[in-house]
Amino acid sequence: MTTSIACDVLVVGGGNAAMAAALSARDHGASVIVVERAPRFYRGGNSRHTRDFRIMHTRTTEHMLDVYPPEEFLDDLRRVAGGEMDEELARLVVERSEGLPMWLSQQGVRWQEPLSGTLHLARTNLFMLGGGRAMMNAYYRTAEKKGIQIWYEAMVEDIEVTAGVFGGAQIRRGGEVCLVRASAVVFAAGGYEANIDWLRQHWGDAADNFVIRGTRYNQGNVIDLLLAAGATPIGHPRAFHAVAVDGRAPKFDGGIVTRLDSVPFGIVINLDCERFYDEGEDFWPKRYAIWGGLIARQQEQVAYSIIDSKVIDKFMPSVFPPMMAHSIADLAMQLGLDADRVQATVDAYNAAVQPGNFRPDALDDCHTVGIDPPKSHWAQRIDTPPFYAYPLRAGITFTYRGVRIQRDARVQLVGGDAMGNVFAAGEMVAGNVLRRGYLAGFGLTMGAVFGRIAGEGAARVAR
Amino acid sequence: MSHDELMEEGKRQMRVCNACRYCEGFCAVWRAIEWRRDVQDGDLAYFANLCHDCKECVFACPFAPPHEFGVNPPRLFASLRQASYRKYAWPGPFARALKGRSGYAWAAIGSVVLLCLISLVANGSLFGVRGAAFYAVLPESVLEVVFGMLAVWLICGWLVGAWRFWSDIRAVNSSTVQVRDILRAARYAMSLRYLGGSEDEPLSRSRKWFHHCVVYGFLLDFASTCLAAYDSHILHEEAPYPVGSPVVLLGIIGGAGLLVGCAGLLFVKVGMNRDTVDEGAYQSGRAFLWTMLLVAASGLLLLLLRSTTVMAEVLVIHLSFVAALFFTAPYSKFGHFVYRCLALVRYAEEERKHHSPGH
Repeated sequence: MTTSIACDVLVVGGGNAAMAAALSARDHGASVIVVERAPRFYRGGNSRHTRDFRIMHTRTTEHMLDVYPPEEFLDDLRRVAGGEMDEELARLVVERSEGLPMWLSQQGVRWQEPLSGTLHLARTNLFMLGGGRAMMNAYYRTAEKKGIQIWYEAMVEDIEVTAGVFGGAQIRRGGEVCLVRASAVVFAAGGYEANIDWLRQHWGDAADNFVIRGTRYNQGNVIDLLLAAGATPIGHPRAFHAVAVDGRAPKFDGGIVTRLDSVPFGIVINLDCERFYDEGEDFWPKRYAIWGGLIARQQEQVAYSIIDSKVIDKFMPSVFPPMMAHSIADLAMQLGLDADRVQATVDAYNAAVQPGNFRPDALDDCHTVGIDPPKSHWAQRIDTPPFYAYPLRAGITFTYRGVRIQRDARVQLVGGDAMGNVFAAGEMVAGNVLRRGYLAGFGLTMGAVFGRIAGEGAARVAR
Repeated sequence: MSHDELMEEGKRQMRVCNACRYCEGFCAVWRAIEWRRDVQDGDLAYFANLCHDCKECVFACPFAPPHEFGVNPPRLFASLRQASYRKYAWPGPFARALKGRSGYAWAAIGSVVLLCLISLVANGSLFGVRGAAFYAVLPESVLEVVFGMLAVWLICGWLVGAWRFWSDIRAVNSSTVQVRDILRAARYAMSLRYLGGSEDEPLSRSRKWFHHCVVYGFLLDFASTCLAAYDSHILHEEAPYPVGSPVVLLGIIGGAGLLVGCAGLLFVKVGMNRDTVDEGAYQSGRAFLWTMLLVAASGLLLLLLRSTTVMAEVLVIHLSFVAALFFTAPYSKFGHFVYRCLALVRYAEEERKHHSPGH
């Protein structure tokens, strides 16, 4: 026999957007059940790997320096999205971001003092004290205090939607299946980047070589259920955001510590021992955002960053020590590459390097002449042993595929109508605002803004 | 885990931490880690003793067990602190024998036997003198010699340990410590700035206050003892002193502080998440708290019973507990303040350097 449970608002997912929705719904008088697929330790999805919110503010506050006006915020978004942005929704998120620090503080989230920190983003971004897992702990602590039921290791297997109206969800919890009837539902269950089978449909066998930087629980089955129930899809199924990570990273949940920023300080070669892209093209974050995709298109989705001892301390240390050798040939052998060909690539690059004034913090004049691809900045000869190398892979941060929502976070049906009592937020609706690109801290901001809107809307429907 | 394995494990975890740095807002340890790219054994001892075991980091860490990176700084640092007490304490060979509960128990039993013998020799019979003054049970001069030797023993032990530790945590780029560094470190230590506690563990936030009770309780008792020595030798007023006297009042307040603080800390330990503690450190911390608790409780009991017929027995027991506390001090948790204060001085020096213009 299947047990049946009723509540006002069912929240599917357990990250930043889901908890923002749950708390917001609870504060608007609804009884709430949160269904989190992960066990307690891994609760919070990709939010547990996050660190900061991007926040609009028109005056210096307790937490943030200077000002970050809405127009500047929107310009930053337009720049990274390359035009593929929904102006109306973006403006909504930007405007609502201003209220987040106060609201999140009320949920128990604590902030880092603006002047400390390794990232110089104190004007535009607000950093959680202790990062994403600390934030999720605060969210869950407050949720439990407010009487929100949390189900861990619980998964939505099916949903009942009749003529665009949600009736209930079939949930597997431990060995049991139960039916939860709710007056409204918020889906905030992340993307599908951990579903290797899905990735394989779009990327073929390359999918097996990708590293998933976040949770293994973002399987996308909820997106599937919603699409089957008539929701409008959004975002290209092949699109993801990926960065260069250490090739030795674990398959899942390597988080921040596996990213590598050695790329601009040397050369990057592929399995053919050839360079394939301008390593000195641009600064972080643009550089950060494109190298994942570049490596994903190389043979076996692998590349190697080669640097010398002049620059070893110019970037954040990686969690894995670099490979080290006193000659390029030795280094190539350690990498399992053809020593002569690597030597030839390094020699050709060294010969093309022009004299210049090396400045890691600026687009300097150190560049190459006469090779293809060129290296536009930070080009120095690789000539000072010991030499170092890091293997690189494509680390997927998030996917863009999801469901279309309207301004009030209601899911839109293929016909264009909104589903009356079905809301969505978080990574599974990120493609509504930006269909490509990435701006540091914007994911959390979007999640919390739409989470709050969805939670409040769901509570109103339930009343 | 062997010493070398522990050091390797420490360096591995620090590599994860240094590549992440999400904890940098929590406490001094994380900034000290960021100021070093390559971590040496001495750096690990420094981090470990700079850590006040508040545990905010491990509950915030996405890479804590069961994650395969297995990052668990509170447990790691507790193990490293245990290792540093063993490594730096002097004389070294006693370290293994005298640590923990059994070391203290044997020291206490030994002290009881010793003091009984002294009483026997001095009076011709065990506890023969009923209702008399303390020094009729145990002659003042003998007590002074015994406790004077114990004081020299523990101070030498701590000083040698301090010197060894300080030499080990000096980094290549360490500069000379200035007076203001020491003052700043003293402020950090006296206010327990870095013993914040975590909301993710029951009662964790109360540890700071219980610890204050222990420290300031102990200092009041120490002041009471010094004052008693002054009364006895300079003013030639013999103990016991009246209840309203400063000596006894300081003793009572200090003793109460110790009782409340030690009992509170022991109670908090019960609710601790055992996944975040080092079992050896947990037990040695508990042993030390019990030691202090016994000293304080027997001292207050002595005050209560000092004009009854069991005074002599209670006096011998109390002094034995004190003697055992002193004898095991270079090896027990008692010495932690020596290492922690030195680590705070090193940190204050580094903080000044990194916050000064040009950095």
